[in-house]
Amino acid sequence: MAWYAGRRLLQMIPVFLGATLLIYAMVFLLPGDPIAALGGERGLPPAVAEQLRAQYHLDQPFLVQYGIYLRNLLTGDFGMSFSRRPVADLLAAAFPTTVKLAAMTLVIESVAGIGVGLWAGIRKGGIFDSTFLVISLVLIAVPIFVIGFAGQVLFGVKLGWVPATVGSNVSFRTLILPAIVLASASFAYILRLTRTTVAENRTADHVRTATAKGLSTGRVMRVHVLRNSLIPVVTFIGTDVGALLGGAVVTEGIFNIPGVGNLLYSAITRHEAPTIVSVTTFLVIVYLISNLIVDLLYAVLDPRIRYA
Amino acid sequence: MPDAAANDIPTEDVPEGAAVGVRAGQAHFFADLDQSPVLGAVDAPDESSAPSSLWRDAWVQMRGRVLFWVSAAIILLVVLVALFPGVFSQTDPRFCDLSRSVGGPEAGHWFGFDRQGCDVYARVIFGARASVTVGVLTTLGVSVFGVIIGSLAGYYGKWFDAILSRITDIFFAIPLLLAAILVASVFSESRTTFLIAGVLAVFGWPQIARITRGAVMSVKNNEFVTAAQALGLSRSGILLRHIIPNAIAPVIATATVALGTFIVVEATLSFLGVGLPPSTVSWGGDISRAQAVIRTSPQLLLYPGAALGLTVLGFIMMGDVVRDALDPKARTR
Amino acid sequence: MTTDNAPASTDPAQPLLDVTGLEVSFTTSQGVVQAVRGVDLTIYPGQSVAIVGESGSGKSTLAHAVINLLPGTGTITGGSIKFDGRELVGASKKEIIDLRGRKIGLVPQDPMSNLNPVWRIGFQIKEALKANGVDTRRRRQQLTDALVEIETTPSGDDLYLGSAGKKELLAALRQAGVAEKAVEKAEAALHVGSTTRAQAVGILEQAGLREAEALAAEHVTGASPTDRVAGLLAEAGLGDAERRARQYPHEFSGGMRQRALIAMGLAARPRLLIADEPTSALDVTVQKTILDHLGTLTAELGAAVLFITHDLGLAAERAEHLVVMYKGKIVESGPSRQILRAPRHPYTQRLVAAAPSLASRRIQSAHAAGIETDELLASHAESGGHKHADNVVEVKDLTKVFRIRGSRPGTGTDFTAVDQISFSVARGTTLALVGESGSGKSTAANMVLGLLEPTAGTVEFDGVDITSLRGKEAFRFRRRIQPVFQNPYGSLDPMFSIYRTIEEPLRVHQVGDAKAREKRVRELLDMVALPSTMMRRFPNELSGGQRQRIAVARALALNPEVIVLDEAVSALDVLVQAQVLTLLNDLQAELGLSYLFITHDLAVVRQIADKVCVMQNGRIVEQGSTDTIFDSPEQEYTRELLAAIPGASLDIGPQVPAA
Repeated sequence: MAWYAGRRLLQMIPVFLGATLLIYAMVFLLPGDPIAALGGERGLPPAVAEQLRAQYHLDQPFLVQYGIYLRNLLTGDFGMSFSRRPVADLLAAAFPTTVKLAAMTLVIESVAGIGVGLWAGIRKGGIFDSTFLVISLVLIAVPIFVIGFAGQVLFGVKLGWVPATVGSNVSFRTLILPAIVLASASFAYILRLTRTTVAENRTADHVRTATAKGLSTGRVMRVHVLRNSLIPVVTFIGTDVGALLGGAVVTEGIFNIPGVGNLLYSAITRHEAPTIVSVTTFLVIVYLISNLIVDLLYAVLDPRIRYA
Repeated sequence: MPDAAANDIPTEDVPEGAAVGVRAGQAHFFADLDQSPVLGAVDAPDESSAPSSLWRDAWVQMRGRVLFWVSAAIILLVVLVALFPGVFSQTDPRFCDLSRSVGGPEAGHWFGFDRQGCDVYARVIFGARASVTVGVLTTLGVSVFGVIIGSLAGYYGKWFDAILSRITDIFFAIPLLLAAILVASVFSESRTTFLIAGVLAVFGWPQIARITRGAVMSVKNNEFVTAAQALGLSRSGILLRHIIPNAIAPVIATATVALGTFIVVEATLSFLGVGLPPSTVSWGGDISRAQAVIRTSPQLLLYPGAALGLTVLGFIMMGDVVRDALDPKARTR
Repeated sequence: MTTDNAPASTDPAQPLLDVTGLEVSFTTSQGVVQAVRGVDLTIYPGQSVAIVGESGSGKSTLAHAVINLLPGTGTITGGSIKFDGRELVGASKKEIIDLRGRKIGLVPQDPMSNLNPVWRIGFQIKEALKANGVDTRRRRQQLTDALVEIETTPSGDDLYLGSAGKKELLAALRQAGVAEKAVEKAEAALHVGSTTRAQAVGILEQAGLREAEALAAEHVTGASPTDRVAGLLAEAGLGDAERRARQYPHEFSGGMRQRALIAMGLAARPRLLIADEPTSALDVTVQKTILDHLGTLTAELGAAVLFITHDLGLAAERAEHLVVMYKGKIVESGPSRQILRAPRHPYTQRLVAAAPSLASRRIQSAHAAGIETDELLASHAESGGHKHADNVVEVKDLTKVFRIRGSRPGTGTDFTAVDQISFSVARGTTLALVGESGSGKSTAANMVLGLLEPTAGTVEFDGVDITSLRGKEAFRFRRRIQPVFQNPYGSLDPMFSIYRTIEEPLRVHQVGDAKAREKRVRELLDMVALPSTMMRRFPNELSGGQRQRIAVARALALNPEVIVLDEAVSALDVLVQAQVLTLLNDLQAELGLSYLFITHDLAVVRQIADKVCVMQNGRIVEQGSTDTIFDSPEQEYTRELLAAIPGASLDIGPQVPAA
């Protein structure tokens, strides 16, 4: 296990370097003056342009620039926003809210997704299964901003059950609607994945053997079918954690939730490219770390990986 | 051991049919020749059915499903609208009259008018082209690129695979939407349909590459590949003639679903304001602009939102049907 | 040794299982398919019965119907299944669950897929104990209670040795001054969770202890479930059982997994054990030891066994009563030896004639009696070595070393798959390379085919070392040697039509124009006795035997001199296998082909090969003419392999029984 973890960690290093280099190169190796490009259509105030030139060491050769950028990243320096606040501080302020929203979303999508998926998988081909199969397709097909707006108008404005926007008032009550909206697509994916693996495992040879041992139907389902089916499902949920912590840009934007996603959302609307780069880099790092944790989790769940 | 017991049973001098030492229900029995199944020639080929290839079987299976026809109809409609929007609406989607801002439906303008006073129906019809173009171009891009990288990595293996897989990991580590936001916000000037499709393709190929690699690795262990090697067929010949045709099925299914996903990402980018410029008629852009008046005129969101959802639904449903039809596990034998 | 506390009707005259007129059908998209049609079957307590049939005969369906484990849409549509006098058709779910494991155990077919990969072996066996109420501790309590009531000593048979008790016993032995060697012997003989008090007394006495009885009474006081699991594994013949119980299935070899499955099936001491092809996925020698062990164990426990098998020889050897199934019906049943000696139904007659294990027995008998037999396909066996002086393939000191990557850096090891082997194939004859899995026989075949670079040694084809061939010469060499592989489902490209499959070699080597090639394809199909209308079909429409014949046709397309048959008939049903073997033999006679026949099945070798090389761990341990190897094997390993041919112990005559 320790060797496995170590190997995974080592494999992550080139991916981390590659991903950050890729992000950096996308912004600074493109033709034209990167500073002007960062300013967007409106152009930059001269003071900001000067500060940016200093921050990114544009007078140095590219690899040196990247080295400095990497060193800053590792020391937690994500640069300055246009409002001259360190992006690291903005992130630190926003991250707890994102974590809260992500946790709620995760609970909703896993409980509902696994529950419905298990039922649909057992009764594959039945009415329940077919209904939820169609529902899941619709949830995947309709973009989150349409679901978000629809939910906001219906439950927030028309019915008034929950606040339409969150703002500075972050609580369970205000976050529940955004969490459900955010969970909708992943719920559909988890449902489908659980359904498929449960249906597959139910006919597995070892499940028949377990039944032949004289185990009760409930125990066969829990210990042999569900436990084995959870391996790919938990892996998917783990990857989703990365995406959720990576900020629900659209959802946080629509509901005005002061999380990391909203930070990115407002940076986009204000055309603050340097902040976009910094926040994106942070999100990619979070995503990488959570993927690493998923890999380790996978090894915990599946003994075949651990000893491979 | 049981065979010791078996030897106890007298058989040698037992007359036919007698049951000395044999217990009730266990006497020597043989089925009446008239009633037992007719014995034909060993392993005679069955020539009754029509010949069928795997693709034909898949087609027969698909055409029996309602979902296939529904999704095929949606896709056909959307593609026609995207190719010939003029046939479906004679109104110019860019002709706007502020005096009719947020006007209700009337003759010739069934969906009413948006905030700028443009015809909503026309904008929904003309918005199809942007979405379909981005979806199709991106899917073509990721499929070509992903299949090449994935099959080379899967087939040649060893260090070649190690390098290609790490590169795939790097691109896979950056979530598609984030990467697109990043690049699109840097290209503030020149965001065209082609640029958006290009950006999505650059970050979208790892999924296809991983699936192709896995499929190629499982196909290459088949004995028909070894048989082709023993014939003297070259490595590239084997890859092109035997391996890729057998590995392509899951790629087709995934690519069809991915087409829907790319349309969603494009719309999301436009919604965030870093997608197609306002001058291009697009569903994402219209939804974004509808946001401002959502509490009073939610229908402005509904029409482009429904068009977008329906289009994506068509593609992912088709992907589902194709996957079921091509899934080897679903086959008997 | 039974821990079953339900009163068991042990009347040997009453059937344990009585199936009458059973009908099972499946609903498919093509309609209802009858898998079992009006089957009668009777098993008495402690008896062993075997159902023999080819794939699709309904033999497994019948077995699964008995414990209500029919897959998918399978349902019992008629007849009755009585177990111990109780009707099972239409029984409640609870009754069936009570029955499973406790009364009827199952040892499934494929050891690779029948253990849950995510749970430890011990957990999966303990689960069976718990589900069936076999709690060794509670049992002990019950016994103590009973002791107080009726004041009799329990028979030592009811209590197992626990792990703590074993330590104490060994300590007591050492204290008593018993020699260390005797203590070690006792340690090996005392199995935690399996050795009973009475057995422990015997072992202690053998070690030279006088007060054995008292000591055993003190320390053999029952086992915990964990100890019992280890005991069950030890009973199933698994060494180091306590450690093994803590391992996962993927750490076990196929044979070990099968032993774990046997332990599981017998955990709750069922009165009937259904063994569904329990060893067909294993090596022959492992197969024999496991079947021997299973037989001893079930005989000891007094359990009846229902074998499901495709191998008539194995069935006749292991069961006293045989049931032959064909297309869902019983075509013949009766005492094993009677069926072997005088099969009455034409289908059984065909099976008896075709089963390689029986055929090789008959050839041996005929050989011993000096009788000519037409079952010997290799007709030139006697003179083979002298008549064909020229060797078409000559292998010298061939070696292949693989680098195995370890799980940790720097733990890689070299693995010698093929170790300095030498053999030659005389033109127009068949050389068999026999060995179990991992013996290196397929690696050797791939080197002969030029598909794998040898680490050392040479492969000479007609005097030319093929490892030195490059470019055009290497390409031309391909025409002269062609393979046929084992898996009929994997050896043809599913995307290629039969025509394209057979035509591909001609196209690759640019033989003739389109028209000539089509003519050649027709000719080849004719050679393998398939109609030319097959050309437009695809592999998925063909049976396993037909696919294998197509593979032979493809191999023949370029008129090769040598064909490497890598387990080419191993996956086929008995009758189909016999048909393909005959076809191969006819082709050899007609075209003067030389075969390199790779197989694990010595019985088939007896029929087809002129010369045999026996491989073990990468080396050739013995080689010689087929007759020499079979009549007077010199190596212990060869003798083991020969003894492992199912039916080796059967005494059958030299002739195919006449109808």
